[in-house]
Amino acid sequence: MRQGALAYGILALLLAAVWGIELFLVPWTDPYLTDIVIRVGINLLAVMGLALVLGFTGQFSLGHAGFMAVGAYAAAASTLYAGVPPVGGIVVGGLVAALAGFGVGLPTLRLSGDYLAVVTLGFNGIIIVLIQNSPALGGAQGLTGLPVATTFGLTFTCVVLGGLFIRNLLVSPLGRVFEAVRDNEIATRSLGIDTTRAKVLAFVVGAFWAGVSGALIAYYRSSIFPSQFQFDRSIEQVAMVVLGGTGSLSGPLIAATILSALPEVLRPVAQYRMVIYSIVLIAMMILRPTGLLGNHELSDVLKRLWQKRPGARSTAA
Amino acid sequence: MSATLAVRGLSVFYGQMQALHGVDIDVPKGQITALLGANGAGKTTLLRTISGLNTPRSGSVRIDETELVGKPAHEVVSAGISQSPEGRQVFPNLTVRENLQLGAWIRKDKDGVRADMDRVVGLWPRLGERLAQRAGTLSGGEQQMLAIGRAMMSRPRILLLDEPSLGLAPVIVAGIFETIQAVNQEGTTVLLVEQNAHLALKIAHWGYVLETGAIQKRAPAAELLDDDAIRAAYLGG
Repeated sequence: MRQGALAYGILALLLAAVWGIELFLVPWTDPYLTDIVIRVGINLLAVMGLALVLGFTGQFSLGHAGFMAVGAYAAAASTLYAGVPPVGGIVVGGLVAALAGFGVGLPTLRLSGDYLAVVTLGFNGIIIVLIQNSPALGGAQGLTGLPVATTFGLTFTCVVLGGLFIRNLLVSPLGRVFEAVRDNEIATRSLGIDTTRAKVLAFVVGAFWAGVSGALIAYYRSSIFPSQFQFDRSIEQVAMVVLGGTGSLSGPLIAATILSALPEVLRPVAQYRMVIYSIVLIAMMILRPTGLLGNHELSDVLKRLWQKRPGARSTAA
Repeated sequence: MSATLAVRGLSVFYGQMQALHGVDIDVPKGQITALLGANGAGKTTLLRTISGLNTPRSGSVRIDETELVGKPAHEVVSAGISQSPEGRQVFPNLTVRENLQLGAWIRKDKDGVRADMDRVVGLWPRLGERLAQRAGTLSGGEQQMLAIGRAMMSRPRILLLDEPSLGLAPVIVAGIFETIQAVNQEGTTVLLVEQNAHLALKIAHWGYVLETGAIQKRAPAAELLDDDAIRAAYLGG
């Protein structure tokens, strides 16, 4: 009861902070900086879903951008053809993507490892080809004429809701099941746990937030193109999760922030920025092979640093 | 609390290769039955098939009167069979407590789960001292205790143990076997798969010898301990 109240308190506080920034800071901020921050936020949503699927449940999905595409086009179509307002379109995008996640997940999550990677990769490709060849969805020219609604406030409202939702899922008993499936699926099954159900659930939740992320893209620049959701985007998201640390939620979010912002920060050194970007990737893998935070959360790391501060009462025996 | 397990005519294939040839086994209620055999004899295949992790081509597995063949693994656990798999296979990134809690996943009676957690900790106080520690940091012996304890958390009527002595020091193994015997005396039926035939037969009531996927011998454990052929093959002279 008290814990529930605390969770709502945190939620209210974070949302108040997001809208405070939106109302009092964003209007006086360089639009270029706001643009970068919104793009980071959109990536955070997709990556937190993948952190659940890949980092915690251990299912190697290489088609996460495919779910973003489903969400983006479902949202866009609902607005263009049915007049759904953007906030409703974001919910539609998430739900349709979740449905797609269920459709892809149910038959394929019986597969494991490499097979699942190949199937999800294929799913990503098929979605793009379907959109490119569908006149109703604008084909390769994309869909235009969408209302612009994706602001800092809306994006980070979704980020806060998604982050708390996934965090709560991970600290619940189901969170332990996800990790057990990742650590040892056979042993998990031998305990009487329906692992296919757990994997499909993780997949559906991950796809939902990818769909929300895609929908935000649809309402950001009033147009969307299939080329925005290609395979390279899926790979980039896998890199963010792995670099952030599998088995951590905050780690991948930090990695996503760094890797999404890095190309922009490096824009002054134009032609070298992809080189530097690659070197940063390689350096992170060498220096932190288990990812930025390994399987810890940022709060654990900060707690440990706090206890190690000079003058701290020693807790060692 | 206890039950009888009856395996009849069980045949299992891996692709073209036949791993079990019409195996018959009885695990009588309240007793320990030991299943002996060399590497590759099919012991683990048999346990995995009983647990619903492998699908047999033919045959039946019954707990009391309930047929288990064709049921998925999670329904087999609900029916009262729980397995501690070979090579321990604890969840290294979860804490000891979380490992044990997952063992009770199918149960809804919170008080009963807490009582069983106390029971496991009572059997192995070292697990109790390490409840908040990640299971991957435990020693091999402690991980084996945890794997058996985890299997006990579903309050099984029949406990399947796959090679509990694997890779452990003799003094640790002796302790684990004593505990298995204690668990059995509290009323749980046990099917024990072992390469360490001597130890297994000492605590078992019945013994089976499995060779290349078929049962070669079935006898009271004490009789097998005295059998010259068994001595030569499995007990090192």
